[in-house]
Order: sequence, then C-alpha cells, then structure tokens
Amino acid sequence: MHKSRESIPRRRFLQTGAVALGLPWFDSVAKTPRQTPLRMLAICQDLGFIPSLFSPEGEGREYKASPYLELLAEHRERFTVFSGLSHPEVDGSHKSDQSFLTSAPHPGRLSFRNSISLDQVAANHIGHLTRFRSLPLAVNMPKSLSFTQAGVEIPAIESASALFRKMFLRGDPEKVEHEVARLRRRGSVLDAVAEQAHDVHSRLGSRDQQRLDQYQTAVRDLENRLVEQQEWERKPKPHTDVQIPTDPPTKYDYIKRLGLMFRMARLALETDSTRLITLFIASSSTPGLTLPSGREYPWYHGLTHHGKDEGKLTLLEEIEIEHMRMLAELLSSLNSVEEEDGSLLDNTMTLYGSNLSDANIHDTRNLPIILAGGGYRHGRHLAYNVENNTPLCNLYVNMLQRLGVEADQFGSSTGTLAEL
Amino acid sequence: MIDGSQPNRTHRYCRYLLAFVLVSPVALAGAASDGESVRALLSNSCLGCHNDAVAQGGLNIQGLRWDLADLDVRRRWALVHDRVSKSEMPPIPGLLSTGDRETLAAELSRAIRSVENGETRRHGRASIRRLNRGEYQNTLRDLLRLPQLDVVDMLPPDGEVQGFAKVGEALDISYVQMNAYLDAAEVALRLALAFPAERPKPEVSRYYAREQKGLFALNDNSLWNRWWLALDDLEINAKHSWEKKVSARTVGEADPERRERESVAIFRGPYQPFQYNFNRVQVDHDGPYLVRVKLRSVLRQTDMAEPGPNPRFFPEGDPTGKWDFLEPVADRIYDGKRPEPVSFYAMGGSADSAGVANRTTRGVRFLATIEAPPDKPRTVEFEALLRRGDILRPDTIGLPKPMVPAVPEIIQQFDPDGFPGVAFFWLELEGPLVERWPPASYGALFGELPFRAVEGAYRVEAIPSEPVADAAALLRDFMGRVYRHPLHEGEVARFLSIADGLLAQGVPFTETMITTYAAVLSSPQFLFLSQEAGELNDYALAERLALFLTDAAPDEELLALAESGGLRAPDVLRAQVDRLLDSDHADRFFHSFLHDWLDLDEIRFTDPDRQLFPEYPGDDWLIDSMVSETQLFFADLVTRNRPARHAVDSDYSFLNEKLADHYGIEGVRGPAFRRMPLPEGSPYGGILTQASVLKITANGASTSPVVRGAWVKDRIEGEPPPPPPPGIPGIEPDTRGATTILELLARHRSDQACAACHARIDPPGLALENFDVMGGWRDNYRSLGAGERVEGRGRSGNDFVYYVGKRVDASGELRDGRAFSNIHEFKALLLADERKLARNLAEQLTVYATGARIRFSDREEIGAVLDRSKASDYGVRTIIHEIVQSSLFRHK
Repeated sequence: MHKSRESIPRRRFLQTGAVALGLPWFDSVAKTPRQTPLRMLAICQDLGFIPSLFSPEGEGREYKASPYLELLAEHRERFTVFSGLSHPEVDGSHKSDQSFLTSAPHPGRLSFRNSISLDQVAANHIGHLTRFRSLPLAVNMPKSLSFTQAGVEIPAIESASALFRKMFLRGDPEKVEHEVARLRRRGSVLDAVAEQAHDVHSRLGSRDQQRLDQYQTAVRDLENRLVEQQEWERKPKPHTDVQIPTDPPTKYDYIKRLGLMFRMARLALETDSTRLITLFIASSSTPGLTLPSGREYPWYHGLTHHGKDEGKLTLLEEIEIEHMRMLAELLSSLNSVEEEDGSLLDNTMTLYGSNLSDANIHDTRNLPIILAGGGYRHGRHLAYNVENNTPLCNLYVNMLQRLGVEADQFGSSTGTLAEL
Repeated sequence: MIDGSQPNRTHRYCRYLLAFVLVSPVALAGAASDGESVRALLSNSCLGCHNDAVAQGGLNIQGLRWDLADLDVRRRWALVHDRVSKSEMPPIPGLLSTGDRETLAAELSRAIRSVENGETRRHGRASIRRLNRGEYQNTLRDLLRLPQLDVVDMLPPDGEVQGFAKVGEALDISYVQMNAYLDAAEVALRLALAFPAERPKPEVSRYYAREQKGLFALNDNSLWNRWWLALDDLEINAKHSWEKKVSARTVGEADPERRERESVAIFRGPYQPFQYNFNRVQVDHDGPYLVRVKLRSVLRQTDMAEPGPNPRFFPEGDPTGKWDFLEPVADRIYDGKRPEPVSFYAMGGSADSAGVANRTTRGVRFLATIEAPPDKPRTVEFEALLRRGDILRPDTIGLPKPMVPAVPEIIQQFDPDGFPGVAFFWLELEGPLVERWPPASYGALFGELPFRAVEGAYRVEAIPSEPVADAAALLRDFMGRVYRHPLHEGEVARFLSIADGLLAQGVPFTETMITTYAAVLSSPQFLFLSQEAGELNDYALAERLALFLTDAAPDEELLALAESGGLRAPDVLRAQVDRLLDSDHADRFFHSFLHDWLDLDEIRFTDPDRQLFPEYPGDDWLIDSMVSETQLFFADLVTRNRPARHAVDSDYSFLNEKLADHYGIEGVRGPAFRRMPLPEGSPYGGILTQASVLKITANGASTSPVVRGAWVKDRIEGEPPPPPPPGIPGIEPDTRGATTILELLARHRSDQACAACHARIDPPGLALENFDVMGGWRDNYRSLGAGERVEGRGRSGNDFVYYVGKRVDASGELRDGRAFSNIHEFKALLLADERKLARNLAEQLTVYATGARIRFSDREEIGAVLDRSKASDYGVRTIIHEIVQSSLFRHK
C-alpha cells in the first residue's frame, strides 16, 4: 500500500491557493508536483442494488466480476469495488441517505442530528479555490448529501439548466455590479444583526449562550462567504462550447435527468468551477421511468420491495443494469478528458454507492461501494468482513487525505483503509 | 477476506447494548454523597447480577456513573428508579426488602429531582430557540398581511426532538440558514409590494373547455391516450375527438347556442403523464375569486372489436410491440350513473414580474371539491384564493388512475357498465374581489405613504416626502410590531443607520427599506424566543402561548395584554386560550401538532403494492380523506373537549363517502365530511385505528407488528421503546406467502434477549394485524405465492394475481400477562388505564408547547395537570387549559 502514496503529492496546487496547507507527512514521498487539482465526485443512488447481482466473488486483483460489474468491464483497471463497508449505527431506513456522506448515527431516530459531510470538510480546506466551494446536486428530489458543520442541509441544485447558468452565463457588467452591490449591502446588514445578537447574548445564561454562539458563528461565516462571492462575481466565468441544456420536465424523465446531471458534473469539474460535487439520485421518489429502449416502468420504489417476486426482480434488474451502464458512460466520459496529469478521471475520485444495500429490507450494512479514478491503484475487490463491517468512513479519511486535508479521523472512522 | 474489524468493535457493540438496555458503564463516581447511599442499597440486592464481570440484561451497576448532570445518564438512573419502584426488579422476591425498596426509590427520586431543580433554576427546562420554519412563515404571513405567502421551502428543514420541531437543542442555525432567512425575508417583503397602481376591477372571464389544450394535451393516437372525448350534449363529436390536427375543437363564437353544449369529457383520474388542466386560465392579481364551473357526469360504453385494416388507434406505446389489442368501436355516451366528485387545485404559474425571482411555490394548492351531477349540466360555484399566474387543475378524484400502459379495453373492466367520466363545459373566474385598497400588505410596510407603479414591473414603490425622517418613523413602527418586546432606542438606531447609509449612497427609498426590514427580520430579537430562566414575563408568556396554539408569534391582542401586564392572571390566560382555540389560526396548531405527533406528513411515503393491493393504487382521494379524518377528529377533540381516551376508541368519527366505503360503512354519500356514529362492532373508532395511522405505520407491501407496535408504544401509550439493537437487520417481509409475520416473529418470544424488549413492543402491533397497509380490514393475509388465487384488473390498470393465504391472528399477550384475541379486546385493555392515555397526550402537548422534553421531575406537574383534568373525563381542551396554567408552561 505504501506505493500508492507516490501519487498523492499535490502540494503545488494547494499552495497556489490563498491558504497554504502544510502537508508534513507527504514530504518524504513527494516526487513530481502535481499540475492538476484533485477533485471529488460523490454519488449516492438511494435504492441500493440487488446484492446478488452486484457483489463480486473472490478478492484482490483476481476477483470475478458480478453481472453488474461486468457492465463496467472496460474500466476494470480504473475502479475498486468494496464489500463489507458500512456506517456503524446508521440504521435501516430511507432516512439513512442523510448519513451517506456524514455517518451521523441513527438517522431514523426522532432525536437525530446530522453532522458535517465529507465534501464540506474538504470544502473548508479547498472550497475557496474555485467559484463554487462545492456543488450539491440532486435528481428527482430537492434533497442533498451535503451538510454543514452544524448538520444543516445545504440545498442541492436539481435543475441542470440553472446549474449551467450559474457556471457559465455571465450577467452583463451592470448586472455583475448590481450583484456585487447586493452582496455588499447584505454584508453591511449583517453588522447590525451581529450587534443585536451581542445584546441578546449578554442577557442569557451559559447554556443559552451556546445556542446563540451558533447564530453568531452563522453570521460571521456568512460575512466571509459574501466577501468570497464578491471576488468571484468579478472574475470572468469559464467558456464552454456546450449549449445550455433543457430540463426534462417530469420525474418520469429520471434517466434523462440523471444523464444530464452527469454531463453537468463533468463540465463543472473540467472547467474547475468546483472541485467537490455531491449528487443525490432520488430513486425512491421516482414514480416511474422510461429507459432509453423506450420501455416504460410505471413504478420504481415499489419494485425494490419485491418480496422476492420474480417478476418484480426482473424489472428492477433492468433498471439497475441501466444504472451501471450510465456509470460506465460517466467513467468513459471523465476518462476522455485529458489533463496534464492524466485524464479527468485520474484526477477525480469518483465515489459511487448507495445508503442501502438490499432496499427490500432497508438493509444499511454491506453497502455497494465503488471508487473510481483519483489516481489510486485500482482493479481490485477489497473485501472486508461482511459479518462485522469496517466503517465506510475509513475510506472517507483516505479520500480526505488525498484531497490534502490533514485529517486522521472523520465521522465514525477507526483509521484508514490501509489496503487501498 | 481482509480482517478490517477493529479490536474495539466488539467492545463498542457491547457498550452500546449496555447503554440502551439500561445504563452506561463509565466509571466515574460523582461527588454526591447520595450516590453512596444508593450504591449501598444496590450492592446487596443488585450487584450480584449487574457487575463488571457479569452484566445481566446488559446492566453493570458496579460501573454505573453517578453523574446526574449528564442527561443520558440521568435518564437511565430514572429507569432504574422506575424498575425498582414498580417491583419489576430485582426479579427474585425478597432480594430487596420493601423498606429498602422504598428507601432506594425515594433516594433516587430525591437525587434526580434535586439535580433537575437546580438546572431549572439556572437555565430553565427549555433552551432558548429560534422559530421553526413553519412558525417563521406563519408569523410573516400575519405581520406582512400576506395570507398566501409561501417561503417554507426556501429554508432548510428543521431538526426535531421526540418528533417535535419545537425544541431548542435541535433547531440549529448555520450560514446557509442565515442566508436563507435574508432571502426569504426579501422575497416576502417584495411580494408585499406586488400589486398594480390602480385598484383592479373585478372581471368575469369564461374559459371554454374545448379551448383548453391542457384538457387534451396528449392527443396522439396511441391507444391509452384515449381518455377524453369532445361531446356535444351526449353526442360524441367525432371530428373534434378523433382527428389529430384540428385547429379548433369548438364551433367558437360563431354559434353561441351550440358552444354552450360543447364539453370535454374526461374518463380517468390524473396520473403522470396523464394530466389535464384549464391551462388558458389567466389570473392577473392575487386575491379572492369566485370560480364557477359548468359540468356533469356521464357514462361511456364502448364495444371492442378486432382491429380492422385501418385501426383508429395504434398501440404505439406498447413496449413489446406484440400486444394483442382490441379496437374500441361504437362509443356511446349516457347520463352518468352517479354524481362524480371533482377537486380543483391551483398551480403556481411561472415567475412573475414583481421583481421576485420565483414565488417558491411547489406543487399544487387545494381549492375545493365539488360534484358533477349525473342528469344534466349544472354550474357550481366556489370561492378561492388565487395567485397571479395560477392555472386551475381539476381532478376527477373518484375515477381510477390507470398508469402506463392501460388501454380502454383494460380500463373498461373496472366496471362492466362502462367508464364513468366527467364532462367539463367551461370555467369562469370572477375577481379579484378586492376588499381593501391598497392591499393591507402595503400598509404593513409603508403606512400611509403614497405609492406609484414601477415602470415595466408588476409592483409599486413608496413615495416618501422626507426620506430620512420617513425611514425613521416607518422603521420604529415596523420594529414595534416585529419585535415582541418594548423597543430599546439603541436597537432602532442600529437599523436606522443601515437605512441612512443606504439612502446616502443613493439607494432608492423602497429598496433601502426592504434591505433594512430584511435585516430586522433576520435579527435574533425576531428569530429567537425571548425567555429567561424562571417564571416567564408577560411577553415571553404571550410568545409561548401564541406559538403553541397558533403556530405563530403573538397577535396584537396578546401583545397588548402583555404590555399591560395582565396576561399572567389565570382567568385572562384561560380566556386567551379559548380565544385562540376558537380562532381560524387554531387550524395551524392542529396541522402542525398532528404532523409532529402522528407523522401525518409521512402519509405518502410509500405507495400500496399494485399486485397485492390492486384496489388502492393511485387513490389519492382515499389518502387525502384519511388525513382529513384525523385532522377533523383531533380538532373536534379540542373544540368539544372530548376525552383523551378517544385516541384509542370512540363510537363516532368523521367520514365522507370514500372513507366510509373503506371502512365498510354504508349510507354516507358525497365528498363532504360529516360526524357519523360508527356501527356497533366497527374497529375504526379512535385515532389508533384510523386509516391514516395504519397507513403511516405500514410500508405499502406489508405490515410489521414491530414497527406498528413501537409506534403505538411511543405515540399512543407514551412509553417509547429503546432503539433496535445495532447490527440486527429488520425482519425480512416475505410476500410469497410461505410464512406469516407472526411466524417470523417467533424468535422474539423464544429468545430471551429479544423478548426483554419485544414482549412490550410487539403486542400492540399484533393487535393491528387485521388492518392492511391502507387500514382496510382483512381476515386473511394476501401473498404472491400461496393460497387461493385471485386475479383481475387493478385500479391502476394492471393485471394482478395474488393469493389469499393464511388467516390473520391478531391475538397476543401484554407483558403483564393480560391476553387479547383481537383489536376490540386490545382497545379494552388500553382503555382500562385512561389516565395513561391522557398522560401521553398531556406529555406530547407539553413537549410541543414548551419546547422541552418531559423530565423525571416534571412528572409531578404533569400528574397535577391530569388531576385537574379528571373531572372533565380528561377532556382534551381541559388538558390544554391545565397545561397552560401549569408551572411547566409558565416557567422557561
């Protein structure tokens, strides 16, 4: 595993930012400075995959691909498939989607509180280097995988055309100035609000002061973000030859919407608009769909509660095959973009998985997880104990470190995945 | 396989088990000497089984921390107290003498109470909290006089404690939220100015159905798109019905008499992608309108034949291309067999020109349900609050909603007499029926200042006479209404300096005020409740009362009472509770409380399985009716002060035709709800067995006694079970019919570790097994694999096959040994302890009202509330009154 560290160093790009990050433990292994930034794309499809069709046999490089992984055959050397990973104490329910990138325990419980998501930890370090700190995206539901330090959801963008506009269409100079003025005005308003908070604060008991501290932090954080936004507002937006997309109108256009979002994600990474993307694929709120073959499926969520019925399993399999086919297409597409240090895929850690393994029983153990690209040594099946799972966050720590975050812990991690 | 398990995993697992079974074994003895006396009593009778080496039931008392300041540890000690005082532990008689038992319970109780009382003195029970997003929106609606304001979706979802979004610890705030507050306030403030310069004159506009492309949008000739017909009286107008490209499907103005007989008849409920609406409706101004619809119900009969050489329809959408279709021929239309209910909805239009990016509306707003008469066309009128840009959508809620692919040949098999349909002739709007001019929202922001239209936009701007002085006066007035306490001069000056600064920069007056007002609406004095430890002052009391019973900040009357210092008087408080409960705003309380208490907002989380339950799919009328029943029922409990035991049983409910059919009750006709006595022996009395609850606790394909049981323990009995052990997956439902859920649960009884909890959790769920996933009554389970075969066409147009399998066994035994053989006997057991049901409701209401969990030391005060409510049979309104009078409510 020590070999894999050779591809880690990217001190150079980290130092180009406003904040230089010390990376002491990379010093000894750093060889060639990386020219291209490393990015992350984290995707969660919330209805899992039929485990028997997803899980590979054997382990290491010699593993035998499952029917679903067979569909990724052309990329076999570009991804690693994991088994035996999950979030400890994240229990079975659809609500576990909220914990996919946070690992906050017991999302189904009434007293649940979420915590910061993987991408936001990274955004706190590298977010200021791009126009968008991070881009939480979603298909078929305005719900996001990204959460702030306080566990507050960061709204996701559901419309591909709105995202495109944000990324590429520059308002006329007057509009830019208008927007800068608006941001500045908002910033100045916050001064008064902060003073008001100070008044309240002094009258509160110690416990309540802590609650208000959170408010004051929110005000300060917003002030900083507004300053950053003003700077970005004045910088020209990147150019693209791609035409502005049209949003497929209904939830039934699920596959089209998803394909479009994959393309937008690629564009965002390619143009370095952001280095951190999360994408929530809300299969569970997809009422029905049409596959590219033209075949219509009047429902989807219901199929996962197949109760082992053969007919439903067959239909579900057809939909899941399409998911794998689209993943293969995404990987090809990322791989086709050449950058200084390999392809865009090589420079993008692409995490694809689900918060459920077997959606039929809402099982949250043994999650289906694939990690592609990002310069790792791939082509393997890393099989952890299926009875006694390893925390998925161990993988996340690994990814954070690779993004240059000096973290040895995240969420429920107990270490890193040394084998990766 | 890589051994990725960490050495401490097993350990952590055990610790977790311990933690939730009873106590957390962190060895750190507190300084309190009480701990020593408690330990001494425990050591002889308990430590034999609960020590570092042996921890029976996962409890290690030896290592139990005496740190009562820690909420979790304290709650576990309270549980020890309860087990001991109820003589459930120790299990061997005589191990703890009666005297020691009493001493131990008293010592624990005293120690816990002393810690909690100290906390209450220092901090109060509740933490300071911000408004949740529902409260925020309601408050803005009231303050800005914008009854249709819709900004909830602009704010991130709120955290919850015990299901209630009213508790400070869970109501977090971040920069995202802060930014969202500023955005939402700005949108609301701009909407307050979105009206024309001149008072709009009410106009009458008629929209003929035959001119609405939205009523026949999918007009290609694939077979399943034939769900509409153009009718002239009861004649099918072939040209306007079948021809693909007709420029107009009406005679138009040329023949007014004939035009009046033209209609579009719809033969199915809307279901993506088969939607229909009056798309050409044009609403220019927000406000109240009269909506008039001319409609009737009809019946269509169609003969089916083998397709000829030139079929009228093409099975274009058939995914296999091999479908064996019959061709509909010889359509005939008759009078309807029965009145058909039709609901109308408004759908938010596109972005408007008010300078507001979007109106943030999601989805559709319900307006009214009317009936289409079967014998002749009739004009039905209703009132509706509409928004600029709305279009109107009818929903023939009583008709099936077949999904793709369901062709007429299939749909007709729903009813051998033919398909029922609704013929729409036209829809008329009269309005806006403006009562005040300018709209009250303007006065809320700019008082008496004159205004003018902004050129090229649908909004006005204020015309100040002296901008700086006007800004000061307006701001002081605005803050006086927005802040729920007397203003300090300093805080007015602070915001005034924003306004002055902007004016000095040349920012226009109206823009300046919007920015400044948005700042006020984002400051903690508006967003946070102003409670200080100890007894609430009049303002804080007004705030808590209003948020409890109207889900919004206090109104003028409450604030006036607070200012005069009179609100605290018990009879004044009582009169105010009555006033608020009798006001329209009480609906917000019912709505919000039921969402939180019963999870009513999750009613659509799963859809019924189309194979197993073909009678249900797409039946939105049924689901909406379920929610209405529970809301009407609860509102009635409060309004008529009916007993809390009606949470479990009652001899009446609120029914319409749909729900009555579902419950197997005859003689209820039409979509309107009415209070109905339930027939003798009906299992549907009480919230516990209302269809809404039974649906929310099922998953669409199957029911689980564990899930339902845990829900009932938590919400109805007030005894929340511990969370499920980690690493043990849920019971896998088997819809193949080989085993019943009861058989799958056998282990819960045979395995002692499971039984410890499941003996409490499962019984209520077992008692509910006679209710299917939608609350329909069943004697036998249905499965996909074993039993008596049933097949046919489902309500969604699908072929279905299911099997009637094993008989449902809804019997069980409570943990105390009392047995029941069905839901009726189970209810009787619950009703034996009426006070417990009342306590649960009182506790749920208290958490909701005070924003704090019920603690050990709160039990006495809750008990007092119950004592004072007993004479009213624990009437729900009395309970609310007594909660408000209690020290729990009147102290932070």
